[in-house]
Amino acid sequence: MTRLEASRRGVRTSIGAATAIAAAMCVAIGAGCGGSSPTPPNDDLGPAPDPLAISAPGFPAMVVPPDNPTTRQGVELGRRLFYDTILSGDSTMSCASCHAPEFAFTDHGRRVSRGIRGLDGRRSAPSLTNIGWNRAQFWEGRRATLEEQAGDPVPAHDEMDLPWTVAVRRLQRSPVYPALFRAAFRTPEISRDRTVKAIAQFERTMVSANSPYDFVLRGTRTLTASEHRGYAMFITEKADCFHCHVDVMFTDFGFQNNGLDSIFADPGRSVISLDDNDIGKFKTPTLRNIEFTAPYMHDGRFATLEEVLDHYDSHAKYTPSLNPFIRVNGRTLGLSAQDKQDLIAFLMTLSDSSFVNNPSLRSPF
Amino acid sequence: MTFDRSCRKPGDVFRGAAIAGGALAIVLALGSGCDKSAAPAPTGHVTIAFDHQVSGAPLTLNSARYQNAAGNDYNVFDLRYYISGIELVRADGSAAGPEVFYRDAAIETTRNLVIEAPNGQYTALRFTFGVDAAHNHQGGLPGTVENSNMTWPALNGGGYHYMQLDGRFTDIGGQVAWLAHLGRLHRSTDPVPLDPGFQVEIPLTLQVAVDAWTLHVVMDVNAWFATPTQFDFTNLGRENEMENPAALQALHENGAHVFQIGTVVHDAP
Repeated sequence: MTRLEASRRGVRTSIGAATAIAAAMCVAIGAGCGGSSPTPPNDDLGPAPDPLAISAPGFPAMVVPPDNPTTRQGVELGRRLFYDTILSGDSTMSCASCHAPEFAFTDHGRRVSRGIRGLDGRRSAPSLTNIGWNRAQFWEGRRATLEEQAGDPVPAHDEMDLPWTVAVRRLQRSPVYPALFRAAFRTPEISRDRTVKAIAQFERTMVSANSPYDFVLRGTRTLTASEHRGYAMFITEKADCFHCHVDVMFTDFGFQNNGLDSIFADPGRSVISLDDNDIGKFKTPTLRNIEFTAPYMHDGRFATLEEVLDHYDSHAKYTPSLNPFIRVNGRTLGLSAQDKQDLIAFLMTLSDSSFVNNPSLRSPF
Repeated sequence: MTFDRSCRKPGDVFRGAAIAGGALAIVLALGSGCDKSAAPAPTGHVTIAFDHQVSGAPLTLNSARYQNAAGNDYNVFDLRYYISGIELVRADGSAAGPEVFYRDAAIETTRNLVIEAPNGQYTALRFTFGVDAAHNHQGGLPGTVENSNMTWPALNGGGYHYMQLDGRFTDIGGQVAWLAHLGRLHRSTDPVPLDPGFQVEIPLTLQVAVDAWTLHVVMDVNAWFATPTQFDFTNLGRENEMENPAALQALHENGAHVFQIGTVVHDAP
C-alpha cells in the first residue's frame, strides 16, 4: 500500500479532519451549509421555497445564476421533469432516457444517444457528473448555462421532438405541475423559462465527490500499489493526462483536439467559435465515473478504456489544432501493458457508487 | 492615501481580468483598508501591460511560425504565467501591485494590472517571475479554473506552474510538441528543490504627479531559448521537460533576458 496523502498535504489541510468523516456532498436546506438567504414572509403567493446550498469538500465554489437560485422545491420539480415523458412528442422519452443514473447519466452504453422513434443522434450523450461546475454545455459548448442547455433537447426532432408551446400547455393542464411550479417559483403559471430553470436546479445536485480517490484525499483510504503507479503516471509527463484532466474535477473545462482524426466529419468547437484553430476540438470531459460512461469520445468510437489509452499512447493523428500534449509523428507515451493496467486501476478510483446509486437522483415515479 | 507594501493585505490576489474589469474601483477599495486618519497623499495610477513578442514581432498564437536561436521552426499554443510581488521602486517607498498576477496571452482581459502610485520619482519596476513561496502550494491561490489548470503535479513538488509555454516545432518526423513549462521541481528523489523563479528589476524613469501612465512590459519569447543556454527543442524542450532539471535550469537562467520595458505612455494629466 502506498500512501498518496503525503504528497497532498495541502488538500488534507484544506479539507480538515471534521469534513473527512462527514458526507462529501453538502446539499443543505436553509442555513445548514451556509450561503442561504433570509426567507421572506408568507403572502398570497405561498411560502418562499427553501434555499439549497450545494458544495463538496475540495471542490471550487459552484457558480449559480443569480436569477435561478437552487431551492428544495425547485430541485424536486426539476427531478420530476427530468424523469417525466410528458416532455416528449410521443410521451415515450424523458431527459433520463439518454441520461440514465446508473450510467453516470449517459445513454446506456450506446455509442451515440438514441432519440424519439429510435432515431440515433450524432454524438454520445455526455455524463452529467458534476455538471453544475461546467462553464459550457454540449460537446462543442454551444450553450453556456444549464438553463440554456435544457431548452434544446425538448424541441429537437431527433431527441424529444416536442415544441415548447405544446410542452408548456401539457404541463399547465397537468393535475400536478401547477402546484409544483407554485411551490418552486411562487406562481402556478408555467413557462419554458421556469421549466428549464427547474431542470437546471435538479442537475446542479448531481454532485459526485465520494469516489475512493476522494477518500484518499481525505486520508481515510490509501491507494493500492497499482493505483498509485497509475496515479503517478497520470499526474506526471509519463502519461501526461493531468494537463487536461486537472485534479480535482478531472477536467480543464476547456476544449481540446485530442488527435482522433485527420479530417473531421464533426468540426466541433470551431462551428461555434468560427475559428479554424478550434477545428476538431470538443469539451474535455471529466474522468470522474468514467467506469460507467463507456463508450468514449464525443462519438463513442472507443468501447473500452484500453482502446482510449492505446489511442493516446501511439495512435493520435496530427492536425494543426492538435493539443500540444498529445504525442504524434513518431513520439509515443511508450506505455507498457502493465502501465495501462495501472492507469486504469487509478481511473477506477474515480468511480463513485454512491453517486450512481443516489436515491435522491433517481426517478420519483 | 498611500498604497504601499504595508497596505497590502493577505489574500490580495487578482487575475488580470478582475483588474481590467474595474481597476480603479478595486484599487481604491483596497486602499480603504489603510489608516484613514492619515492625510491622503496625492497619487497617480500606473497601468502595467504585459505584452509578448518574438524577436520584435508581436506574438500570434497558433498560426504564426517563428524561429529560435537553435534554428527550430515553431509555433506557440499556450503562454500563461504568474508574476508575483510587483512593485514600482522609488527611494522613499515603493508602490505595490497585486501579490500574484496571472497572465494568459490568449485572454486580453488578463493583460493589465493597475498600481496606485503615490506621487514621486520611480526608478525601477521590480517583480518575481512565478508564484511566490507564500502562495505556491495546493490551494494557495483562489480556486478559479485558471489557477487549477496551472497546478504543478503534486509528485513533482506541488503548487503551481510558473509558466506554461508550449507549441509544436518541425522535427524530422513532422510537427511534434515542445514544452517550456516552469515550476518548482521537488520530487521525492530530489535532495533539494529546484526553484526556477527569478527576480526581475528593470530600470526606468517615471515621474508620477497625480496622473496616469501605462508601462508596457514586453516578454520576448525567443529570449527564453537564447542566452546563456541555447534551448534546442530537439533535446531540452522535448517530452518530460517538466522533470528535466537541466531544462528548468536553462529556462531559469535565460529568463534574466526575457523582460524589458517597451513604450511608456502618459495616459492622462
